[in-house]
Amino acid sequence: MKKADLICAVIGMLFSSGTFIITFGFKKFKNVPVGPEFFPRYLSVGLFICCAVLFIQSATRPPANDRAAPSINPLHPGMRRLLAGLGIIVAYTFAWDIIGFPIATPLGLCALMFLLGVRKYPLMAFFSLGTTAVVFGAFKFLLGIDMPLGFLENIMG
Amino acid sequence: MDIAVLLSGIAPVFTPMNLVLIFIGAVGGVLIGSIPGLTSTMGIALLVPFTYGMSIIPSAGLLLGIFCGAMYGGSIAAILIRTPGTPAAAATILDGYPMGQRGEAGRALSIALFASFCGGLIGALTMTFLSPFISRLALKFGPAEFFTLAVFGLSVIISISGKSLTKGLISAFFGLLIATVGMDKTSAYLRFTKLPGFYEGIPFIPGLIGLFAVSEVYANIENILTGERITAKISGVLPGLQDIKKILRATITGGFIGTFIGSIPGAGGDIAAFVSYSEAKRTSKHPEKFGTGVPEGIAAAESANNGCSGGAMIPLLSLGVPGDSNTAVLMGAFIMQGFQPGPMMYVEHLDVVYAVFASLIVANVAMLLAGMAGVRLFTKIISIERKLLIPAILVLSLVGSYAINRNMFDVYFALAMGLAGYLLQKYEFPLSPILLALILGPMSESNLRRFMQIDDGQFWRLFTKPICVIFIILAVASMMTSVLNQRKIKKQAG
Repeated sequence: MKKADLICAVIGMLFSSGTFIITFGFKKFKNVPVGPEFFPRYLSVGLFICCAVLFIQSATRPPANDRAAPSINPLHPGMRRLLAGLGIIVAYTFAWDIIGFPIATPLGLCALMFLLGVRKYPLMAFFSLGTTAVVFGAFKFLLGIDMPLGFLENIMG
Repeated sequence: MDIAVLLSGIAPVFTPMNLVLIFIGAVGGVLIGSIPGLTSTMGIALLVPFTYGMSIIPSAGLLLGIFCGAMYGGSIAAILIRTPGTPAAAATILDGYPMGQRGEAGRALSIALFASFCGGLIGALTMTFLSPFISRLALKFGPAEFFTLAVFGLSVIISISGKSLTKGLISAFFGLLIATVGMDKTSAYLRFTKLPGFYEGIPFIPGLIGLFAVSEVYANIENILTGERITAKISGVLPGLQDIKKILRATITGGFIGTFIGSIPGAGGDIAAFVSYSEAKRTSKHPEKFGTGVPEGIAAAESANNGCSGGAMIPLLSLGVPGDSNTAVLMGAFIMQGFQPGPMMYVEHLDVVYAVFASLIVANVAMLLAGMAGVRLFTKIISIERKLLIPAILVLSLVGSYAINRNMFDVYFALAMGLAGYLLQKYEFPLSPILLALILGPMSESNLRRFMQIDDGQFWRLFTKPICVIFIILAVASMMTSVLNQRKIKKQAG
């Protein structure tokens, strides 16, 4: 965990340095004691200090008190599944505007269930269609919230 | 208080039709509150058109039923799927979700229900008897007082930081910093980005859904276990005597904290729940157990956010100033019925004021009944196989993010926040301080700047205001005891 904490602290310090510098580009307002730059600038300083403290704490931590950090190695099976899952989720949300929520959702749900290891196809079909019908029906007809319909918009008017 | 007027005011509430309407409202509220992304404000706003043809008492009953029901409903999603149904239920996650994951979702839900009922009742009774006094106090709140209230709220961060205070503070600073992204409310200046989706600032509810629900979906996709299923035990729809004994103090204290904070216009159930949670942890004999699924943690948060419902009605009825967004919509409904909330309402329509008091008390009872009826059903959700449940949670979370502004940007933002939340959690950065920072950051900034503008940049004048001094002392005391508690926890952990 020591190495992971050190990396996190460095990322945090870089991030806060970046935001600190950006605040100097904010517009100055006349006769305003506290302008729009005040909060982000001091918060950046606070974040930098905390990250520096984390860096020092991690660097001085005895190796005996250290634990293994969780992996984000893309070769790890769990991480590969997560990356595939992220791909499905992003494609699914982009599909809302193209093929519409009612078509994209059962497809997205089936893809995710398959990724998670479900192989009972009738159950997958029933669960994904049922979930879509309940969510779409509740939001559209009970709450009056129109979900994206994509090309269905033209068909359904 | 004239008892005859009081009785004549509350009697019309107890007609069968009104009671049915209040119950329908409570059931609807529980359902709306339990869906992430749908807030009680949205629920009340959706039902206002249905009250056009009603008189004031049934319409107030229906809307108050939704208000109370949604406050409890928020805890259902928080306990079962780790996403607060409403922002006010954010603190309920801290102990509700771990308890649910232990197979005690039924117990967690019944504790949340009981605490919500008690908190709501405390709020309603306080509203009935102390309304004029509390509203006079609430009227003394200006920008400086709001700023110190926000600072007091932020002092809670230490107690919700988990194992590492440094990481908790990093999370909090990160949250406060991202809360400044978008249009600055004071000067209308766009900070950090010119993306139209951030014009109103960070989309709060999609952010909250992303941080807690979507991140959990990602973590589950990575670590999915074959056939993992949580079997939720249910021993009853209400907590047992042992649990009631454990939570009584936190519930009563939380109810009063919620009522007081709710009565301050602009301060809502989310802040109250965190303050109450921190107070319960601070005064507990075993603070180290908070965050692992203790009943007191759930009770403190839930009683406070429901106490807010009564508290928020105090400035609405006595001053004509809505305490939060829910009461702002309720105010609109009252005006639509021809009643202008404010001091004159106590003179001209005292019977209506008492009817509203009684309706709120009945709404809390209706919420209790609706919740009791639903505990077994809601608990079944957690028993669904996770391989099926996780994709369904994702869909519900994304739809909830979309529903707020009907905007795809919010959906993408929820996905991005989910990724940030997943990575932060993986490396043991707590998420709750980010949430608290997103709630309190804008409030503290805008009020500090307003105060500095009014007082010509003289910050020291803050210390000449008694309410500010009280909040600063409370914040320092809260931070000191939280630090001591953290040390105690570390010592016990070895």
